[in-house]
Amino acid sequence: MAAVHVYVHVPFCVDPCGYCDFYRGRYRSAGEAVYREALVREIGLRVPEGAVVRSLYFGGGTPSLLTEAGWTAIFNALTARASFETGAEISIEANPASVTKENARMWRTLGVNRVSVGVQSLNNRILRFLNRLHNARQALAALDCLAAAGFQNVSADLIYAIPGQNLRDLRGAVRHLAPSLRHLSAYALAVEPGTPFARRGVVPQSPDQTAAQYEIILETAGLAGLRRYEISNFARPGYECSHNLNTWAYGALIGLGPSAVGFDGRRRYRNVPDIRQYSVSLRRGALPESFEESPGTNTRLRERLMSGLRTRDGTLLSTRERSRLQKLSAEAGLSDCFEWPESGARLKSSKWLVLDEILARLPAEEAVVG
Amino acid sequence: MGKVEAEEIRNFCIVAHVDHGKSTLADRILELTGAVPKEKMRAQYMDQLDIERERGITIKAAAARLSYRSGAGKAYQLNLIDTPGHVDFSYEVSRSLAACEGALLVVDVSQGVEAQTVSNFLLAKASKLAILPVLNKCDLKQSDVERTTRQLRELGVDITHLVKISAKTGEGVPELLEKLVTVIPPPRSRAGEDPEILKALIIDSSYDNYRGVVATIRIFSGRLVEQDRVRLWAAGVETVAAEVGVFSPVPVRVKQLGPGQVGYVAAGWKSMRDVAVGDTLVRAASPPSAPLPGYQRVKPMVYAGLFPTDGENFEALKNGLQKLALNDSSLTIEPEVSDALGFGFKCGFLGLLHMEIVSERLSKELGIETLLASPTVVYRVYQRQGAGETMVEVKSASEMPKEGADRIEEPRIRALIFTPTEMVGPVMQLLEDRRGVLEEMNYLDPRKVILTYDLPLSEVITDFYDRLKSLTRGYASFDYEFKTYAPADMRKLDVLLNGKEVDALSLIVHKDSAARISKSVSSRLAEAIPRQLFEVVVQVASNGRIIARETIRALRKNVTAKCYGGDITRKRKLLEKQREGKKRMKQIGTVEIPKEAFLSILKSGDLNPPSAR
Repeated sequence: MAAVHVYVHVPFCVDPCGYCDFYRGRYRSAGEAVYREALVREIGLRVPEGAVVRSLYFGGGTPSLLTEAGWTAIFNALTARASFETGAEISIEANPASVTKENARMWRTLGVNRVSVGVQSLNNRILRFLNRLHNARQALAALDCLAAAGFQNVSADLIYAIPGQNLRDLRGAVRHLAPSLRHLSAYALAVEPGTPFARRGVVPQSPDQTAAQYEIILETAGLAGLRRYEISNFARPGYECSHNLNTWAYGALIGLGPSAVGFDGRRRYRNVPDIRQYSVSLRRGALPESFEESPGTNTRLRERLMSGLRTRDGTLLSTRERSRLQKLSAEAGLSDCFEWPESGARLKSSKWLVLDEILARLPAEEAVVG
Repeated sequence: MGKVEAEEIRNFCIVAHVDHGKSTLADRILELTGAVPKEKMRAQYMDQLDIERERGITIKAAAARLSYRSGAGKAYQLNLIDTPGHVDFSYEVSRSLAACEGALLVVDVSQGVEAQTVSNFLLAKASKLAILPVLNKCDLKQSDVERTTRQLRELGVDITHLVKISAKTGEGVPELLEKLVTVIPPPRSRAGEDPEILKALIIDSSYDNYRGVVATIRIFSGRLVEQDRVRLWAAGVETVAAEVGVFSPVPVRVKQLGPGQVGYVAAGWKSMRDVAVGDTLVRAASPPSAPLPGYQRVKPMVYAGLFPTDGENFEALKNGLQKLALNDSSLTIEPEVSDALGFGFKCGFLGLLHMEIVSERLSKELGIETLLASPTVVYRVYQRQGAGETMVEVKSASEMPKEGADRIEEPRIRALIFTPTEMVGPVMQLLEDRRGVLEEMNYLDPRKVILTYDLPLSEVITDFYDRLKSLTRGYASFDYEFKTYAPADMRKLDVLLNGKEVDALSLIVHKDSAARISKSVSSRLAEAIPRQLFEVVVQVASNGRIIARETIRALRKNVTAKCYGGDITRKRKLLEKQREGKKRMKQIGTVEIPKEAFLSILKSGDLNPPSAR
């Protein structure tokens, strides 16, 4: 049986952040019990008997809020049906405020070997603006704590393009954090409809300023040994996130938990983004899906380009797809945007920041497929 | 129908400034003479027949024959001849006037004398018509009969027989009819004309699905009888008069028309182009030695691109224009392809209003929304060739000869502008800016000034009237007539995007405004074109020299920060949206240009820099 990649969505937060548009609610222990029970049922429905897990990723929300009882139940349910491949990547996202010595030790015991910490910024004013629970000191303490517990593979998230943020802040943050990190993710602030930021009318910095900030992060991270392997992700060699690499390579993914998305290479589903409906559905023994689609060949190719071109390795293409794309990109005046390795196509590094513009200018996928 | 002596015929028309009550007065006259029973009366009866004509069921009543019995008991045959309402059709108006012996000059006393009052009066006077001044809307509180009367006297109108009416209530209209038959003379044969030889003037023509082209005519001499073989003098087309009749105002077949009479004839003509207003209809067997005077072939004065706002409507636009052209021989259409706007037509119009009427009829009657692009006058471009020179007519910037010109002539107009006295300063400034030359300035009364300007037509075809109206809070009125062609130092401006010329954006401008307009064009484009993957240089060149330049810097960032398993569907949809947006843009070379960018140049005549607005 082929190795599987599993994503688990943990939909709780202590106090949701202003920019976040993931499905999450306020953490309550009763809620965790409902969630835990339903998730265990979903594992029984979705994870094939005898599966070998290559990557397991707990995202949120705030996975680090889960109690030991919760973690134990979830891992038991998984290991009852599946085994972990040697060297399997087991990641959790953690909020600095919930990284404690006890939690860190517990995660190690469970087998977690990668922790992604939501640092976001080392400027306290900006952390307050983002409605984060922690301050810069706590963020750095969390990283120390993880190191002390024996975690090697630690990642941090940063956010840029925040109003009031400047280049010095960002350069400082990357320099300060890098020695403790194997991996760094840096995201431009996007104000999504329906978020508190959208209601407050927050406007990110201009595209030009955003680009300048990105370039500072790219440069500083590179100097510190963190190499860019995807538009927003940087890692020391060998520490690229294998779970996400699988997604960008258009691999299959089992998605678990409310609002999680899964894809088997043909069919994509999304679980209902509501913990009550999620649980009711699973109690009846039904899959808790609220959306599904089976993209056609053309759409799949578009999606492959959309995600693959974000990475250093680019998109794998068949010989025919590759030559079609070469021709069409030339016609669209995009020749100097691409490099053409044997395996397919990738973006020149100078063009990474205008990927969406390039994708939007490419002729319809029908034409690419021919 | 008894035989009518020419002595009992009165041929007249009603002329007025727009909205001064011409159509309402016509309605009252139709009603009073019993031509249209009161219960069948609809407002603006003569006008409404137009719409029916569109559907091919009724001939347009370009003239109505009315029976009138005077207070003294004498019977008259009145022929009310319709005149087109606007100066763009001044030639057609002049032909309608030529068919009359008199005109009712209607003035709204709440407005007083306006620009078209004057131009109509001058036209009627030139046609040697008896003019009966009629003061309308005398029932309104804000009416100023005294002032209007003084203005008319100032203008040189004989006010001996001045009539005061209210066309709306009908008050004074019976008295008006009494005056009409005494003031306006009956038709008389002209000196040197053989009363037996047929000479009929074509006043108007329309297309009827059953009869073909139907002409409205006025007989000057001789008699037209059904089955006569007739010839159109200028067109040289010979056919048989299949049907001869009068409008009363519905068509009534009368089989023959005699001297002085007005009516219609259908002679199996196929094309509106053959049946030209102003041409003379004669009997093929016994033609006169000369036609009636005054015939001209009308030529479009203004050309503009007409494009469907929605590209898929091209077929509808094509059919719509062909339909309009069927009944409007002054509208010319030829296919045009624009880099910027796709498939459309280059249309020739008699003037501004004609252009607006066409686009309005397309929208209102046929539901086709159009875009009028790059209105241009007809330039005469001369090039030396050996000892002599050749002349070409240039109707758009792209037709300008590549090798340049020795000299260029542009059409100029005589413009009449009526403005309240207190606004005369700004109005004259506007006219100066438009290269106008003041010819005359007259005070109609202390509150109203008539300015007569010699102006280039090119300066009024875009936003002039709007500017005039806004400067004077709507109080100014404007009328013009073509005057002559005169030398002008015109330049062609070319727009280049990354070095590639965009023909759709070329302009012809006067030397003195070339710098200002170039700057405006380049900055408007730089504002309207979104940033692209590479730097875009916008240049405006004249005679190969760059006179304005703007740079649109390359796009630095357009990428979603996050794209994980859960984001793909949403992100794909966002990209599809972006791609849809791009589809609506035109690609010139590798530069993508939104339609709005073209519009900001092509549609707006106001080419001041955007900040100055």
